Amino acid sequence: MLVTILTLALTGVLWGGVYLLMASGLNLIYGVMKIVNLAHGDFIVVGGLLTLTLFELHVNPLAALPAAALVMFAVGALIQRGILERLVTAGPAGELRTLLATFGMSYVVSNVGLLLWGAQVQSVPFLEGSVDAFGIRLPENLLVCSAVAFAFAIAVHIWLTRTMSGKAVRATSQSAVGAAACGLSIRRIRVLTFGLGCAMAGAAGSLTITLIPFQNSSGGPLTVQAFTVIALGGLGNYVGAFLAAVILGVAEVTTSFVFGSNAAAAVVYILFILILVFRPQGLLGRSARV
Amino acid sequence: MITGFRRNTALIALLALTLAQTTPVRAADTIKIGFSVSETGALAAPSIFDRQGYELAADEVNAHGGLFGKKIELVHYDDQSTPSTAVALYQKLITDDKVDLVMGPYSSQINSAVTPIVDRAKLVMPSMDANPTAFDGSHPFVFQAIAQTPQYMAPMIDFAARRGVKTVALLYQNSPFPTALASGIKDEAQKHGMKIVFEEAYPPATTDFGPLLLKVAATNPDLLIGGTFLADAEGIVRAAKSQNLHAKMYAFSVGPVEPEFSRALGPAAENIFGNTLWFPSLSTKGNAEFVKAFRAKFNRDPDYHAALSYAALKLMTTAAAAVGSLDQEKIRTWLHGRTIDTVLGPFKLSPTGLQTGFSSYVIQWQKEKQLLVWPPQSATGTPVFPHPGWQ
Amino acid sequence: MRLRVEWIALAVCASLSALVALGGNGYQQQIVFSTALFVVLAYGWNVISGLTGYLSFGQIAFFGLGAYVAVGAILVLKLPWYAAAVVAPLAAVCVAIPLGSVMLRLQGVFFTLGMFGLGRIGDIVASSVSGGAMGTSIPEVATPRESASVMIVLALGAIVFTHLLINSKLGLRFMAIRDDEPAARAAGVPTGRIKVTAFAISAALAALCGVMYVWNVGYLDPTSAFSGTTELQVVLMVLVGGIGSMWGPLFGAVLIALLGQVLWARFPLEEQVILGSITVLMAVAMPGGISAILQARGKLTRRAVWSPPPDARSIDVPTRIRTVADGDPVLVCEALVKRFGGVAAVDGVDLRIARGEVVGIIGPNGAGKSTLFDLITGFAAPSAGRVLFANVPIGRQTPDAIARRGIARTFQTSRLFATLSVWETVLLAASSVNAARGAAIAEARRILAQVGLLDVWSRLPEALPPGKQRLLEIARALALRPDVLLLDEAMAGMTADEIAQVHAALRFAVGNGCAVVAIEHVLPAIATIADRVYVLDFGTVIAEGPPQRVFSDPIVLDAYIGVGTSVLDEVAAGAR
Repeated sequence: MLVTILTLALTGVLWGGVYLLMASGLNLIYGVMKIVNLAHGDFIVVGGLLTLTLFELHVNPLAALPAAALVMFAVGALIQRGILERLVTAGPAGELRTLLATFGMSYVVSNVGLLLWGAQVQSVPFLEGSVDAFGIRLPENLLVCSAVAFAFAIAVHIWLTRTMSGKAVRATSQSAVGAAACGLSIRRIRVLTFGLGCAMAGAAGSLTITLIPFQNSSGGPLTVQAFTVIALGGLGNYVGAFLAAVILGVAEVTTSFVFGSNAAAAVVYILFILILVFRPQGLLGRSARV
Repeated sequence: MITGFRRNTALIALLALTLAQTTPVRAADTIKIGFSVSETGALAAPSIFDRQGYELAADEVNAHGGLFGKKIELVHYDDQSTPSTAVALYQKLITDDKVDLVMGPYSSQINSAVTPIVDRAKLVMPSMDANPTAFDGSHPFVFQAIAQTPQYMAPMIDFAARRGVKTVALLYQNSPFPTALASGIKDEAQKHGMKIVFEEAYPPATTDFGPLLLKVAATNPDLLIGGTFLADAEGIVRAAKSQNLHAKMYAFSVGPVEPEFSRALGPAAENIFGNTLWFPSLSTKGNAEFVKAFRAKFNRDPDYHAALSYAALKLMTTAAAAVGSLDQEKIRTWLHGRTIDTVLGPFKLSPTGLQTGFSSYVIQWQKEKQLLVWPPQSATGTPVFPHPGWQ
Repeated sequence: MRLRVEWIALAVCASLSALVALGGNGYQQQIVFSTALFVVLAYGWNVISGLTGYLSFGQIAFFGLGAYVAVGAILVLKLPWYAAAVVAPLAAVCVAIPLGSVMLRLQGVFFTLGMFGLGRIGDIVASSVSGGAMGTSIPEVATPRESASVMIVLALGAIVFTHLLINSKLGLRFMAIRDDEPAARAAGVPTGRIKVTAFAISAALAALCGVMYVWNVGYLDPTSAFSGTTELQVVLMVLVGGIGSMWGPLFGAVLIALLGQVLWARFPLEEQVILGSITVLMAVAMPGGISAILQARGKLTRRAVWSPPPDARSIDVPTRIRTVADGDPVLVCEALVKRFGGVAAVDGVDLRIARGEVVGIIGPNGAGKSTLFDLITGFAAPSAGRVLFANVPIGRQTPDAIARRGIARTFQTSRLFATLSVWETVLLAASSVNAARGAAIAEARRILAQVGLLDVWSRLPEALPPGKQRLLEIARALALRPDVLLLDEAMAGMTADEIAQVHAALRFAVGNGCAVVAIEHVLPAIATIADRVYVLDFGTVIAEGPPQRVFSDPIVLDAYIGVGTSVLDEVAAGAR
């Protein structure tokens, strides 16, 4: 019994790492640009499918990760430069416009995925064994992926808080006008941010496809999953997101074990709605949002 | 206001144009056979095999002079893997394209969706619906052109029983085909004195099977059997491996039959059992020629979906040729009256339209190849049992 | 009234579709059916997302709900389809009311994604109960002719319904919420109830479509019932046509449904990429859709609700029955405290305002003046202390209830409704306190005339100079016929003429017993009319009394050192 509980808890925590990486890109983009990128999940899927293609060319998924991240960075930067930059986000209908634009984009991305990779469910076999310690059995690939995901998310966090370019991004997220007054090129920072957010999605996809299979249409639920993490953690709150990712991971794994997979599929959404309604400021947030 | 009016006029014109476009030019010198294909969406991969089976069969008929001296023309549209779209399409095929014969779309679900309207139009349709429910006599013009779901894994259970399997863990997706299949598995297992020690259904969207297999491992079954499609079969194998489950046998309905199964799973696919309705090595009538022709035309190996659709179209044209007309009532009667040899084996219908002839075979992945291992008279290899453990 | 051209065009369109529905072949009838179905879905979605501004990506959940209720009603209760078409929308309303009460507390993207989640939950629930993902057949299926004919009638019904809605008080309230929810509350609109109403209407229309779908197809499975593609198409249709407009959903639905037919026949694989790209392009390049393009040329513009204002004939407006006797304090704050985290923005403020009194509140930036107003009007909840209105504690009443009871306010930064005309802005508030249409119209007209905005009644706020915009805000507050009027720097940026107009209007209100409490930075503006002045600093009242005495108080001078004493001298001189 204890072993089962520990196994569930650890598995949940490990999944939390993957969720954290999925959510971090979304969080970053929201923080800087106040855009909720509804195509985020689809970028994750494309990152995974890129990894699949590289894997079929005999590239190790971990080696494919930087490549997928780089490609997604380019895609994201181009989208920001070419499309989103032209979007009028100011005014009362601004949020509506960004949501509609990214909503449309999510269909474009997932269906381009369909054209390139087909509709079938695909996965990448990678480290299929397991590690056994004190009777607790954890899949090797989950351990590795989780570690990489945590490392990636933390690296970006350090970049944001410790380096000049990262600080420029954070400054922009706090006040675009102020940052512009300090001589920062807001446009460049937005391109960088959107690109980086997409790169994190791509990296998350690379890891996730070794854990669970993808098909071109898997993006929508992933977007909600990622959004749940940042809503739970408080928008733009990176420490909160870490905690939230782990909570979500544990909740999902436990629900699946106790109530079956049907309930686990719903638990993300239920958790999401409960948080939004009863704790709209997130776990660690203080002020109510307007 | 004038612009507003013009806008509306333009819309009317567009509407009229669209409607005009849909009225086809009738070419009386062909026999039209209509069906929908899931070119896009979740069912695309098997459905395209389906279409290619139809195309190959039509080619062959045309190469042999066609039907009543007329060429066969296939009319097909994309149903996007959605039943409602398929319903609208069969509506179109029947009322607008006025096809002479209809074939079934892919998947039990879409077939059962279009069954009522096809039957109401009094058109004979070979249906790829494996569930017996639609064939209760209420749709006399629709007949089953596939094997019945509940019996689909009977040979598998038979094999397991002979090798001394006692306890079974049953996992299945809560969609139509696997759900019906699961009840068949339970019946068969009971018949053979096996005990179901674990049973759980999961939704189609499930991707992480870790927690489920954690529970399975606690029951330590001899046989892990899954009413699955490809993705979930892969997920279950992967989770079973990482839980280091020690079952004697792992068997899945759909999944191992697909070539992607081994590609996606690598060594974990070894020694997994699967089901199929057809195998390239079968010595059924015309099978070798079918495999050869399919490879030549499409540059890939056929799978059992292609064999099923190929056989179904052949059945229809053979029946039409035999009765000498496209009279649907006559075609129906002819098909019901006899046993017909197909590439899948003997085809036979019950009075209500259930297919009771050919049934399934057991395959196993060995050294990255599918071997037919059961029943022995058709086998191309010897089964590996018990499962030697994960490498 | 002259029948406008668009209605004649609509009649022609509908007749043509009816001809196809009755005489075409099955496939053509099917096209007519699905186009008309999308018209109703688009109008339904437009009510909550377009008119009310709550962008929902989950209305498809109500389509699915309606479809499943219909299947249940037909299979289990053995009801005919038309009975199911009544039952299912009712069921949707019953679900939408409690659900909306919870979900509509969310704003912006939170609501949008929350609804998306609900759609997915609907799918999961439907696949795990009701026979699973199997899908269900129903025995009673319409012929394509029947379903197309009925669907045309329903589409026309949805169009007429939307027309009536847009020209009603309810529609006006929807649009006010969309443009600025807090301002709508300040204008006395019970936003909670109104939003749920919009949500329920939208849900009922979607559920009705679900029933028609089942009746037409005769088969239902969770994937079709909760299809994301359908949702995308509906969103796209409304967006292309013009979100929140009268004719947009019709244009969009017809155009995209037919375009979809063509695309899907020619480019089955690329269809969704194309539709998605159009959505992105629309959002970037022409967010207002076809309607906006037409409206920019003066076509199909929305006529103001209950307009034009009636001619100048003297309309006798009954005076409100006062609940407070003369001389009694009408508004009292007792030890009011508001803390944000550890900081007290308002720290133990006591205030007594008598009926008919004009009181100024001054204080440096960050003194807590606007927060004080938020506490009085219910926009913020006090951490301690209480507010009494007419000797009754207002407790935790909602801002809109407080506004209707008689405390009206303006905002520090102008909050006007971007798409409501001057007339509608004032009418909105007037109709919150006058149940009868005639009384509301008369009241709105009187106030517009009084503040001198009657000649610009048809303008949108953005077309007004800044001073007139502030005037409009005051007019909106006055239309509530308040007992207490809270003005938050309302006269900033006004010309002398405009200030004179405001003063006249205020004098009229004061003459009717209304108390005015004004936060002002333009000190002369307040000093000349204020009976008393409160000075706030660091959230506490540091001085109180007649202007001339307060402005010579050394404590006040000290607090104002940053401002410069000369200003105060000037004010004190002016006040004298």
